[in-house]
Amino acid sequence: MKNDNLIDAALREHARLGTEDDQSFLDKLEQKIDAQEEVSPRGKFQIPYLSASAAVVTIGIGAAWMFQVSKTKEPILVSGDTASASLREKSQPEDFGGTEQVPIARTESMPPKEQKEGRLNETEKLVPKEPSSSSTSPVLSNAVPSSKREQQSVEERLNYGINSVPRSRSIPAKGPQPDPLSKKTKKESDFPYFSRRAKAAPETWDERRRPTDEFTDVPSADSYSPLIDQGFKSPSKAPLSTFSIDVDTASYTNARKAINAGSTPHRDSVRVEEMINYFSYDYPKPAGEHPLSIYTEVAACPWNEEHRLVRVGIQAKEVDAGERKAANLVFLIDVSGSMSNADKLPLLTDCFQILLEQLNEEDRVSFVVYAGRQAVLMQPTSMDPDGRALARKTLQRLNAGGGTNGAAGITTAYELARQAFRKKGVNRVILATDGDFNVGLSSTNAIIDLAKKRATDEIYLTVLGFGRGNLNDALMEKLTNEANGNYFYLDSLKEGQKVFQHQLSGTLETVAKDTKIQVEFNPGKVSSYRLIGYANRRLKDDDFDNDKVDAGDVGAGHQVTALYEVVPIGITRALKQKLKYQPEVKKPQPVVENASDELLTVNLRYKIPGELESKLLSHPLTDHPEALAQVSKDFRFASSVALWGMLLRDSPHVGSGNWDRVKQLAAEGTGKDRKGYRMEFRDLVRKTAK
Amino acid sequence: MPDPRQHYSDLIRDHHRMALVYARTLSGDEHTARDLAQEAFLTGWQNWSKFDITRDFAAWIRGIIRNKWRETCRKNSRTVSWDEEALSQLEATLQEVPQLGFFDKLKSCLQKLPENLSACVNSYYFDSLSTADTAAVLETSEAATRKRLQRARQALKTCLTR
Repeated sequence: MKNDNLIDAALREHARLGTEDDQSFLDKLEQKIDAQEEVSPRGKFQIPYLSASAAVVTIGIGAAWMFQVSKTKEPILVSGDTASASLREKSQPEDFGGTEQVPIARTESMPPKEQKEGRLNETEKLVPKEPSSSSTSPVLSNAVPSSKREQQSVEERLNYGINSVPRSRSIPAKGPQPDPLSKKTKKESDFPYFSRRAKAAPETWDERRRPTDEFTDVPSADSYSPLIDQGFKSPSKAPLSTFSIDVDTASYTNARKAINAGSTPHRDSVRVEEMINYFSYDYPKPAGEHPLSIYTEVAACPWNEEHRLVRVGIQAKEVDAGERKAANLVFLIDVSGSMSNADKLPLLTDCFQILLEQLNEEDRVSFVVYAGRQAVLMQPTSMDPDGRALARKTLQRLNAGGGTNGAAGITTAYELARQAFRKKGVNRVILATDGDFNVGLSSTNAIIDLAKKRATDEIYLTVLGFGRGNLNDALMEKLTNEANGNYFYLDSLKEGQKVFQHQLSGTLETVAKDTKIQVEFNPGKVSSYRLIGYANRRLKDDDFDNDKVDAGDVGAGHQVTALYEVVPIGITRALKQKLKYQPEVKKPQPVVENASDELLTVNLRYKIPGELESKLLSHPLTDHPEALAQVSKDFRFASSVALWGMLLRDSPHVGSGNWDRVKQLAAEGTGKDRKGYRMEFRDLVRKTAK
Repeated sequence: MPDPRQHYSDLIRDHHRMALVYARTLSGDEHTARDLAQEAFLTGWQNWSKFDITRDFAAWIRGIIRNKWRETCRKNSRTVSWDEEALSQLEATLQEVPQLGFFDKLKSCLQKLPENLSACVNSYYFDSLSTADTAAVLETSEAATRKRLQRARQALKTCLTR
């Protein structure tokens, strides 16, 4: 019955205006919000303001009371009740956001209706009425007349840079919405997302970059999930260390972007394993039936000489460009307002141009954009010369504007990928965004569930993160972790070349699915051990042999490195601080006698794409540690990156490690460094060490 | 940083008509619905800094509208005509229908109605005739007209949530 009322209301509303916007409603509301803005700043500034005011009042009353007491020494009724009552009145919970919502304190911007009306009348004097705000032009009518908005417009230009899209708050009244899955290729005029930006834009990426694009002075709204590092474990109690493989490198490029802009990376943005895995190492290529190989190396730990550092390296088989499977790629591009910065949409289009050049007529590409609504800009198209020209033209005309609806965009993208599915090929949705899925119809879990379900249908997900100040790293990391996707953060054209040119096969083609590592430590040799990084990749030990449990995928040529800090038997880890009330009790270590010389065994499980049963690889490591100077340059470089990450995370396990040690290890481990990545790392270390 | 004011304006534009539908469902009156929706979006802006961006914006605004309606009923000494269970059912239905492009889908669903139901809906809703006048135009009884309208709404609901 109640749903009948809903349809009744919808029909009446439809009869009133059809599919058009209610422009008069919007105009009136915009005016009210502007008037409110003129009277008082937004709510988020008011609670601190109110708290500060309350503190001042309280301190003032307290001081007056003490003054009175000291002067008269007679009991005085505390007049602070008045202030408290006033504050209580202002802190009345607002009926807000449903019964399940946490009550929000009423602030001065949420007065009783009578006061509000008074304010609006007052603000009408402040905000001159625009003569042109008639219904004849929806665009002009909603344009911002006030001097405040003009001032804001100047600020926006400064914040967003010369290449940002000038935005007014009004969007032209929309016409009938195009069918997002229409078979026709849309014309330019059909899309609000097309602009003439490409005509006015500078030719090169370097020209587009400006100092004002940096975020040093901009309060960041980047979002990161808290990471809790793993501590030392005893093999007698926890003989197994199990984790899912992680080939992502986003954390390193994200930190690079922050450091180059003069900032310090957020502690929770530092995922040490992603930093180590950003660099390539010299691992033996897989031979035989397995697409993966295991490599191990052990030496004295650079930040605690009594400990060992074990390096476990996984190498995936390479696939030559000529042997690459045909690809069906759906680019899902966030064109919301937050993507307008030069280091977001313009960089994204440049990076995609690089990818387009690597594709051939066997490959299919389609484009979906999403913001307040979604649209298919290009149906699946072969990348022959004509198709590539069309794709290039489509990219050049992308423009940012509107809210974000990640969920709806993803649904459309997967639908297109399904329509153009390539059997025995690569099917992948490539989502490019700053991570702001902020008007999703569904919850984050719904998006993840969709991506997971499609991954079982052999349609994989790549997430590309762009820009700072609004980066939802937490969601992107969660999305790709749980949906077996891969996640890259593109901070420069050079990084675009790395992902889409030098490592294209790895980016696109998966050679091993659900890849898990389980290391078994020998309690006869190991007193305790600690896995460095992989804080959000841990698995239960039982999950290793359970083929129903998802884990990370590995692309062609990908490498994964894991470092373990190992305390040999007979060495006691010292407490960081000496105890004041009791002597330090050294518990006797249980010694498990066995004849094996092995320190540990690395077990690796993976599935060939398309198969349901996993395969097992094992590789034991015998303990004959070498001095650090004797080990490979790769070992020293990887340990340098690990120590750098630990210092950035304020890890309690850095021991004697410091910035100088990082520099020294990096210098010793640079080697040939043909692409200059390791030299660039040393430059970053210098900047962070300052 | 993106401009939150611009972002909020974009969201208003995308969601205002569905907010109006929801407010009208609760209040049964167009003018009250407009006031409720205006107040709700204003309150939403005042509390925008507290909005969790990963949540469903439309559901958030509906929560505010719901509480505004309760407040209005209290002030006017009216009982809320919607109990919690009915509100939950309504919310569940709204979770199933598209929030963006709702009216496009409604238009498409209307075109799929059988002719007798479609004629009834057109006269009653689009020509603004009363049930008695609709019955007269369609040469049927008033009871049959009401029944047809109810069947049409049920068919539309099924189509919208499909």
